[in-house]
Amino acid sequence: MTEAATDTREVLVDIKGLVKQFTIPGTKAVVHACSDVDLTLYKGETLGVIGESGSGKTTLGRCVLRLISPTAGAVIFEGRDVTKMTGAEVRQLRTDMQIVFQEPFDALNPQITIWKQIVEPLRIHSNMSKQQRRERALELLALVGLPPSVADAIPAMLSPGALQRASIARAISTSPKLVVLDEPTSALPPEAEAEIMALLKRLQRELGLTYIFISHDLALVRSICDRVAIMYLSQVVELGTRDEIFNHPRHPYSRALLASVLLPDPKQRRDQSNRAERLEGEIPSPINLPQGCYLATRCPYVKDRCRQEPQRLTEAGQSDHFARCWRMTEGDLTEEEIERTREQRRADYRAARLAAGV
Amino acid sequence: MADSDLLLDVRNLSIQYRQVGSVNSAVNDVSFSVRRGEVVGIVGESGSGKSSTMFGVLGLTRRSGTIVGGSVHFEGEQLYSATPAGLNGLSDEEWRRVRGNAIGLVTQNPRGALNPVMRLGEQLITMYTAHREATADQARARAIELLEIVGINDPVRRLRAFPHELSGGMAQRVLIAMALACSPRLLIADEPTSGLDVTVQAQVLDDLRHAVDEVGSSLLVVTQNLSIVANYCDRVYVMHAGEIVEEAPTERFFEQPSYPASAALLAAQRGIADKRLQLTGFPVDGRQLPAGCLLHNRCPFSMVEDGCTTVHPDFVEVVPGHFSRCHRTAAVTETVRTQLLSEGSA
Repeated sequence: MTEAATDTREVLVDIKGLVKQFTIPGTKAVVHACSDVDLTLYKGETLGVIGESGSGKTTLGRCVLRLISPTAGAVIFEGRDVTKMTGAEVRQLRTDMQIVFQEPFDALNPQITIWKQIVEPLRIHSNMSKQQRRERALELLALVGLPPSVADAIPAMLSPGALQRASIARAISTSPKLVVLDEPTSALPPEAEAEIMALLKRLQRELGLTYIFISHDLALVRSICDRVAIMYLSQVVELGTRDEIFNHPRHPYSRALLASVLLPDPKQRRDQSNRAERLEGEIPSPINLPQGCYLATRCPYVKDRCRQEPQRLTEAGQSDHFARCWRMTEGDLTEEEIERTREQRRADYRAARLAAGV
Repeated sequence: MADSDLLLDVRNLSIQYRQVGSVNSAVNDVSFSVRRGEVVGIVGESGSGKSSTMFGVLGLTRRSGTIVGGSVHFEGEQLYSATPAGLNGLSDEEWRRVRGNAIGLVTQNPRGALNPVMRLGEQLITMYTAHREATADQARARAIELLEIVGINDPVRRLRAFPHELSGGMAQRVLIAMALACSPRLLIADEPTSGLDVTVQAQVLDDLRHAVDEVGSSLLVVTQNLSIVANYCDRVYVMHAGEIVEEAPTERFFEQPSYPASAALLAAQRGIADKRLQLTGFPVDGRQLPAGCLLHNRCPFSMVEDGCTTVHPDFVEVVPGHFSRCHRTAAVTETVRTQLLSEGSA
């Protein structure tokens, strides 16, 4: 996929040191939604952002579009810093960047016909006449695989899958360069999910779109993304090409996340080794972050340095593969130790079963 | 199967929701069974009658529902048989021996199922002492043991927690612990992990399976997620429009689904968008069931010549242990073999 040499890729978005904090009203407590996020997005690619709920992936997507303003850091889109733009400039930017939300029913106005909604952006950003917008709406409907009859329907008359197609039509109405897809299929039934994924891939091919694909579903990320960023507790902990991330995850959190996948195939059932990768305990509060590595409280390979010093995203041997892990940087986490730890945990697991059985 | 292996036997269960001017047939003539030690999955899209069926097993219905036909046997004993006059079976006192004691239930939405103003320990202990003679100390020890079985760290401290202090995964584990309190012979879990993150989902299911093995229960899992079936179930039933439309051992089901809706669901969950396997349109309205197969207006295989629009298909054994309710099983089998399996294995 991304075999091409690094220098041939054209940067579309460069996210540098992005921080977003929310203050809880009436208190001094601060929720850390994004901490120190560095990501580069290349033209024409799909970058997957995966993580559990609360890991900061949606906040990241919204900061890139400047739907919300980051606390610190820069988002450089085609050479210009989005975070420093004036309101008028941001409005101009909207034609180049769009978003598709998770819940299509909530993202559309229940009282307005579909055609008017999908070309609403053109009413603001172009000087097309009503007749021209209507024609463009019919074009867009055809492009996303909806019949022309949908144009005069209201959202209540459509299925969730058709509504999400309409949302996608609206997002591409201004011919954007970047589309942020924020869990675009998680509110849909499985059949509609497969159709929407096929549609997104086709549109990317035909229109040359660049996607940020936010999801907690690893199978979907694997099916559509060129590169993948894994987030844990407000940070990107690992970044790499899809194949590197799925075949050679380096960060202990990524390993645990990948080991938790359930596949719809009884020949690939979860086994003891999957269970041995699980993280014990609960995700820490994003209000009181751990001092060193954010995974230190749950990591089976934790050492003193991990508890004390935060680590940055650093090269993980392969080009284009980065992880935020002291054990990896220091190179002293061997396959033997990983295997030994797993074996130990398997033994613990067996012992726990025996104890509980008594 | 030997009769002594049979734990739960549901025969011809029918449930209707009666509203003014209409009757919604949510569950139609549903029969299924669970053997001792077995993990059975029931899958189907939303509205296919899965949850109604599970409540029906316990003689319960929600809102305007009525059990209008069928019988349920558990460990050889008849729990009820439905007559036009109502359920003929256990007294309220006898039902209390079954519900929560012999048969445990884990519902979806764990926060809604826990009492928000009662500490967890108290809720667990109430559950246990409602069915068992136990001193306060014994009940407390049991509560701690249960929290350990479902994988909760620091159970002694957690006894004093309120539900709002728990994450979704923990609340779900507590609910499983409560359902297991009396070592039920059967645990029914209705979408046990639908609101949870992937990492937590696998952990909760591992813990659930582990706990069920631990107390020697059978497990009946209701879900829309075929990955859960593939990983945890021995046998699977598929429901559509209130009917059981397919039954197969898990391995066989994933090799060769034979009902069009099953094939469509499996294709979708493997990320295969192939028109030859996709359903169109909406599920049938339970208030006006059509003639013929209940899937025919959505089915890519539907053929007037084969009777799909006129004759209601029987539940036919395709190979031993594998049943399907379809006139076009041969065509489905062939398409699945060429489209789903070739791409799925690539």
